[in-house]
Amino acid sequence: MTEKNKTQLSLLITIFILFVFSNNLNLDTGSIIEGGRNSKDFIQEALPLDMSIFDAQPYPVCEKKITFFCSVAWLGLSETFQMAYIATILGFLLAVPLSVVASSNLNFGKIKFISRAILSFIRVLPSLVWAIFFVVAVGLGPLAGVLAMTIYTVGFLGKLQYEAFEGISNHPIESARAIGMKKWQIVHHVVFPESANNLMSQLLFMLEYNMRHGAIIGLVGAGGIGYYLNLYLKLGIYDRVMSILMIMFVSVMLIDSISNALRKKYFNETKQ
Amino acid sequence: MSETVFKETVLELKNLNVGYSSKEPILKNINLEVEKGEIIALVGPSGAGKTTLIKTIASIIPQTSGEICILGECCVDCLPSGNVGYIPQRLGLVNNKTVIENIIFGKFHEMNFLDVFLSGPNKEIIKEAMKILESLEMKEKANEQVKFLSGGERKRVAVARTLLQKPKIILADEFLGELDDETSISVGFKMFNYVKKNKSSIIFVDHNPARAMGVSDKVFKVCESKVIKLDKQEKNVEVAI
Repeated sequence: MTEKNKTQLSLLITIFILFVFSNNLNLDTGSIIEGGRNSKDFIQEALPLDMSIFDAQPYPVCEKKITFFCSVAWLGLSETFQMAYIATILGFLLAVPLSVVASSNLNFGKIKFISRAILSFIRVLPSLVWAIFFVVAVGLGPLAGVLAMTIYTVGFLGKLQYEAFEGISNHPIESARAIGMKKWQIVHHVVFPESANNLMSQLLFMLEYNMRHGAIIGLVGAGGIGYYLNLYLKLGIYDRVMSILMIMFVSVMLIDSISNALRKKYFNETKQ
Repeated sequence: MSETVFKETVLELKNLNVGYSSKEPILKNINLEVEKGEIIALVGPSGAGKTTLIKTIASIIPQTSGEICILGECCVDCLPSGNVGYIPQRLGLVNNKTVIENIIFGKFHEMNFLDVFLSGPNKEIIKEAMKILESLEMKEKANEQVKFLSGGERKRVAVARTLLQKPKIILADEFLGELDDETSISVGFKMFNYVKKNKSSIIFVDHNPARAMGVSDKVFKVCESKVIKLDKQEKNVEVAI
């Protein structure tokens, strides 16, 4: 069989599998057209945006001079940001020892596999599933959200961190080991400084990620802006839903710009 | 009356084999003795195994068989104790730390947990480190990060770290390479002077055979998986097997 025939056969098999799977899943094209019409209705109802989410809520009575601080936008966003911040810092601190042990260049023997297994297990479940678990365990509210995001951060950052540790040059580690430095001294004075740029970059990325996911896990009752998003979706107040999505978009863009600026500054210094 | 000279062996390699598999060893059946105060040079073509030998003595690469005895202690899988100083080919410096911080690593094996974490190195150590830096004309760079230094300056930092460590045995892989003549003489003088003054020993790899012959007590050629002792006229006189 020629190369050309092989390519044509592969293409035919791929298309055949595509049709079989679509048929198995009953992917009805009629529903897609219907979906388009529903989306159009949703957008019509969602626009113009309802700016009342920036006004103080009627209850409880706002005692602040600037009423914006009693608004849905501020209360939801600030709660989500605080949840994301706490979860990122806690998750980072918990991930560090696990990732140190999981790094193959630091020779922690068989504990490495236990640590990697823990990190993999955490990552198997998405943060939304962890949120459902903690809502059941500790009840509705920000605590469930913080716990879910912390656990997920440990799994996610742990993997990124041990890959960063493994990525540093072996020469400083070997040299430190040869001159009699103890393992904890090597970790503290060689591995951490050498991977500091990556660790900082990952930390900022995780904060941004947790901010975005803070809204998603709020949908299952884990607090933050997601709580209001869920509420307005259930009540069918789509103009408010759209307003919340817009402020989410702006705040994520803002965090993204700040972290990009910080990363740029940090990495540029290194490249000098 | 003649004075009896007692020779003290600080490093002994016994039937040492090194390689990634026992079938194709990089170094075969190496036997070598280094005495207190000796300056030993390793020469040989690239890829012959000089760096592998240095790394094996430094406990970085494990031997496939044989023994390494350091200061009378023989072991198969030795843990470094701080008695061995090591300057690898790529120097092994921590780029994101300052010059002085890198040098003080040489004293870390003597420090306990609290010294390192809470109080940091004491003033005496810092004073000693600054003195060494001054002698290597690097005092003004003490607080600069290593990543901003030139190749020659980085070499001097690695030498300073070893001088502060005060090891009984120094393993140096091409520590005089890439330096201009003047700096190479000055840095080499500091190192060899330390070795003679403190009755320490050094094994160094050098790609400049003339320099190796000039400064060392013994020269060994690493070639075809063996270590061959050379005389000062560069004739093979003894095969160290």
